[in-house]
Amino acid sequence: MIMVCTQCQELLSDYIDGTLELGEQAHIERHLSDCEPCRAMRDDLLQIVHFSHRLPEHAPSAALWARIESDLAKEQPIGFKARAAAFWLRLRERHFNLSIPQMVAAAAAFVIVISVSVIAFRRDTISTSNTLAESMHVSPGQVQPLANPDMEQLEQQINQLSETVEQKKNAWNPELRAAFERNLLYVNQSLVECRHQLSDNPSDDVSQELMLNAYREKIRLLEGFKSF
Amino acid sequence: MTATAERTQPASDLELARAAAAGDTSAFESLYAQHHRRVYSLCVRMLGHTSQAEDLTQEVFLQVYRKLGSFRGDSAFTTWLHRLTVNQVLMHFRKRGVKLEHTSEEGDFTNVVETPIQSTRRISMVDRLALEKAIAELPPGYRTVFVLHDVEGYEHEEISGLLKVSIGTSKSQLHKARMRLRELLTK
Amino acid sequence: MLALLCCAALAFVSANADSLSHFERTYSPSGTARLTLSNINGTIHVSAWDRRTITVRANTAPSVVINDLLIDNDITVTVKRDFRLGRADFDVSVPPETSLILKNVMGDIEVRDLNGHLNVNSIDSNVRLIDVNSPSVDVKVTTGDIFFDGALHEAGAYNLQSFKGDIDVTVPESTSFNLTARALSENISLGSFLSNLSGASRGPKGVTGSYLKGGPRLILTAYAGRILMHKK
Repeated sequence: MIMVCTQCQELLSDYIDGTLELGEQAHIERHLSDCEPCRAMRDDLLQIVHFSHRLPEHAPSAALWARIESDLAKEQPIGFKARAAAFWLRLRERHFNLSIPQMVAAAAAFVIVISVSVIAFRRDTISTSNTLAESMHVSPGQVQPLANPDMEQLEQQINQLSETVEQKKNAWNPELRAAFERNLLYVNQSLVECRHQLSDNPSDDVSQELMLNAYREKIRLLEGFKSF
Repeated sequence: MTATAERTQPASDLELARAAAAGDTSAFESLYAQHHRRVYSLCVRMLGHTSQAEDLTQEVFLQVYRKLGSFRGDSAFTTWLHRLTVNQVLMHFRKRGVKLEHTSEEGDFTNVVETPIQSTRRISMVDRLALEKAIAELPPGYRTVFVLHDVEGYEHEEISGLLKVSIGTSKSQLHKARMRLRELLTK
Repeated sequence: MLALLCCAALAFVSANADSLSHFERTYSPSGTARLTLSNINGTIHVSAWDRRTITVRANTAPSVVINDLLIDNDITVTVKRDFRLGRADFDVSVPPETSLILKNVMGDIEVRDLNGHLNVNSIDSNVRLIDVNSPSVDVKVTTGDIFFDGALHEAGAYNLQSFKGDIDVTVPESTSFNLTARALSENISLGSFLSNLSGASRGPKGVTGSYLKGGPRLILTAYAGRILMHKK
């Protein structure tokens, strides 16, 4: 079959990149040997590809590092988790020079440390588990009362709206119900996070502001779904 | 019986990354010094202009700082950094609603006289500045695939994964980009 | 044979009865109009044009009912609430000075080239505001990214809020504004605006301050997401 120029030119990129099968490659080469326009196109594309591989690097302004440095100063130090991960990674890659008595002693020390930790943890868990459960579990209808009178009023509104929505929810289309529950979860998670931050620092104005806003958002969400 | 102690010589980028992850800001600055031009160049070429490339570069390095703890050295640091940069640019495109994979045929050639198929006109010699300018004039979809493949050396399989298009689409976009560049360079 | 052809045609029509319905209305307000569009499930695209009329088009699922109401220059288009959640994708063309109120539950929203007041209230939407030059913008979503690329008016108020998503703002380099940025995730990146931000406070969760001369109020609130600012 004779190859025409349109067919050849459509395959030129694959030909240049060496991704054609041998049969197609031979077909194109036969066409190129007799066709100057297609050869011209091939040579141009080769130039473009060749020089694209060798484009020089650009440099941003010198001020960019200063801005990044300023961003980093505001960041938390790369956290405990990441440092711990880096530490364990380095530890995994080391090989230790230990004799058998040393290994036995290390194992015994390890068992003692673990036992003590378990006993201590169990004592703590009993006293903290209730608080954790309380703070993490926020059912759609129940909002923990807070001292601020504005928030109390918002909570009342939320409780009323939640009751209405709960009654209607079971009749909804599953997609609608899933959308409601997903979005409610995000708002509730934000509320929990705000409460945690406030319990660490009760005078944190920004967290107060964000929490009040989150209450209003919950009302907006419930009102949005109330009429379904 | 004892285990043999060995100390391997880690790669420079990997050591710097680990030091930076542990809080060593001078190590992070060294990483920046070594790699910022490449990151910036990639941003400039994928965006097609310099105006937001610095901001994107800044975001990339902030993400690097935050994610350094998760870099395990499974790949070269440059590969990891590069991929993070490409993802950041693609996220920028998504937020702007820039559609990459279905570039309109009609819009592409409005102001260009196509070189007739039978023409023997050639690019006389590729001037790098002209090539950079022409790359910037490509529609975003063509430009993204061209920069990733021809400038940065990604394979079509990788490009199709990044852009969520088929390999066929990636190849077709690349060819169209090259043909368009040829048009721009022979004007 | 004729009976067979009729049956085939009827079958074809029935098969396509479940495909999209189309809604289209054109309104001719006498002055600057206010358009309120309430959708439930589907996208909303609004762009400005140089005509004086407002055209609202939608491709909808057959179960969707759309009501509209025109009182003076106030136009209200509402998708009737229905538990079936039929989809309606809107394409709207308006004069640039039109005021817009867009409401949605699920579906992305895009507004281009608008100069009028803009209010977006949605639950689950990515919102893109491109080349917007409005005196006021108020966007609230629970889930979704908000992308703003436009200009700020001197006495304007711009309030962008998302609970799960990024807020990404691009304004011209010479724009002055008073900023209040709040991010529960402590992820605020002001780019090159930060260096010229004067007055007030900077903390991990919140930044307030004036950029250049101050003026327009820019309030950005994110929870599980980032706040990003860029210069155009």
